[in-house]
Amino acid sequence: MKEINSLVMQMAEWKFGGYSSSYLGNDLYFFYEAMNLLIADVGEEWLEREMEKEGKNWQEIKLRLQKLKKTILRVKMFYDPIIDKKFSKKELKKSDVQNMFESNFEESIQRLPLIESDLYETIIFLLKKTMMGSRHIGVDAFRVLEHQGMRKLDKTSNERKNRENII
Amino acid sequence: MRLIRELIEKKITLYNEFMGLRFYRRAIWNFYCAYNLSLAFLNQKMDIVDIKKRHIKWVEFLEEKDNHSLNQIQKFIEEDMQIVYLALNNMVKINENEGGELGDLYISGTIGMSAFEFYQS
Repeated sequence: MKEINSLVMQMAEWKFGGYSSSYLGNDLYFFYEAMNLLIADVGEEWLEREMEKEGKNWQEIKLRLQKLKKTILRVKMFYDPIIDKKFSKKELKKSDVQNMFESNFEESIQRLPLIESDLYETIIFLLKKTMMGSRHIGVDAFRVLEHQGMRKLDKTSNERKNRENII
Repeated sequence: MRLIRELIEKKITLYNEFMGLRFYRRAIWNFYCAYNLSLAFLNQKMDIVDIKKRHIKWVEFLEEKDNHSLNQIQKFIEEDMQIVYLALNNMVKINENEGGELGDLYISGTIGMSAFEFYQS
């Protein structure tokens, strides 16, 4: 089992948390980032050597992944403003910009393959061969997207806290 | 292994939740994420013809959002669910044989043993 830097593992955990709590292409963006993090730590040469042992060609996979990355980035570009509701208005009629974002988003999802092998195989390969596979995704990692933020700031003042403690 | 299992389980629960809430697009997408993970875990590959069939129905559903294409996708999901079950069952078997991963002391047939006996077995 190849060891990975603990900081990288922690960062990858957050990415996997993002992957599993998101959908429709946005999840693939986090998955891709997690893969990049793991490859950066492990090294491309090591990955290439290990893949060769199992009869896989990393260079070919890499080219196909780069094509996929373009589509993923396109989806992400339209996904974010829709989720953030940047252009939505309270009026009943949708604005032109919002319509444009939604139609472009739907068009770009159609380009994403429903059954994708290269990205998933590479990630699973990395998880099987490294210590990352035995990690566990913390509850906090799921919360990043589900609740929009790591954790809410405690706004109660110290004075009030002290008062509550005395009571 | 644990991480892969967690990812698959999370995606399947999301699939169930979204199906219940009638967010079909998200549900289908989440199911096929779990399916992709299971396929990669089992080192299996799907026929290009089958991939195309599913993708065509998916695009049809995205464009028209009709019941007909949804029903057909649900039939595909019923077929593909077997692969997900197979992957999850395999993971459980591997975990039992290996005795778990870091911090997990479960090995079948060792419940009730003392620590010194555990290492001798």
